[in-house]
Amino acid sequence: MKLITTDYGDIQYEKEDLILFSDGLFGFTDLTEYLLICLNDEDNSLLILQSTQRPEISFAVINPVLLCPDYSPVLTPEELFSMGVKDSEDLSYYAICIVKKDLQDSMVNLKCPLAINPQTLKGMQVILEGSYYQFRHRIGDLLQDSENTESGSETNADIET
Amino acid sequence: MLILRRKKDESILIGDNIRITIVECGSEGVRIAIDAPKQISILREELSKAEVVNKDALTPQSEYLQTMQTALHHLYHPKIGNMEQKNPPEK
Repeated sequence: MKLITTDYGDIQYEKEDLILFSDGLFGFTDLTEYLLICLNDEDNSLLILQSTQRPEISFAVINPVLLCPDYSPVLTPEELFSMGVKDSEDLSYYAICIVKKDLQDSMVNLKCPLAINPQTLKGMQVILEGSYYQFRHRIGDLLQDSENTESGSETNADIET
Repeated sequence: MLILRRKKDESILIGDNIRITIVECGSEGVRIAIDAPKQISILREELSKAEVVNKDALTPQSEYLQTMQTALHHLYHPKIGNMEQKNPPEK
């Protein structure tokens, strides 16, 4: 049983709860151990990836399918091997958010999802090949696209790099 | 910017101690071998961009998080009267 103090209060966790990113995250390669925290028991659309090694380091993450229902990352054979799975679909994905005052203006990084093996809790941040997903998608535009797709018309997402 | 054409197995020399060689050209992309001193950083450009985006996302402001969480919750769990639906909102 261990305790850390963060922006989100003291958190009790067990070693088995830790998600291990053996290569860390891009720009944070020395930080390998994280917890996924729900802000709210009723609703887990937005989660916090909290470093247990440096309490001041955390990221807001979201299940990307909430914003982009067709989101289906394809990892390289080397990445799949490293994660201990055969198919990209065997992994859970989270996208890091740049949180702004307004949901519509907040951004989500669909190009570099966090891939997590739900069995082993091994994690890896990957950079998806190809140009369809970008580093910064405006959430308002993704939500607009989802609505348009449902109603039958299609538009391209406005993207920023 | 210098633009050169190279074929498989041909090289480019940069400065005194950097050599770039085309290993393979194919429809999946070009395989490039880079011979350079260890102290020179060699990154796929996307990696550098990925680092910047992660740093911009670092430790979000808690009041903005609350607002975002509430907005997402209303989006995906709209209330109709006293009943809460779990389906995505319809137009």
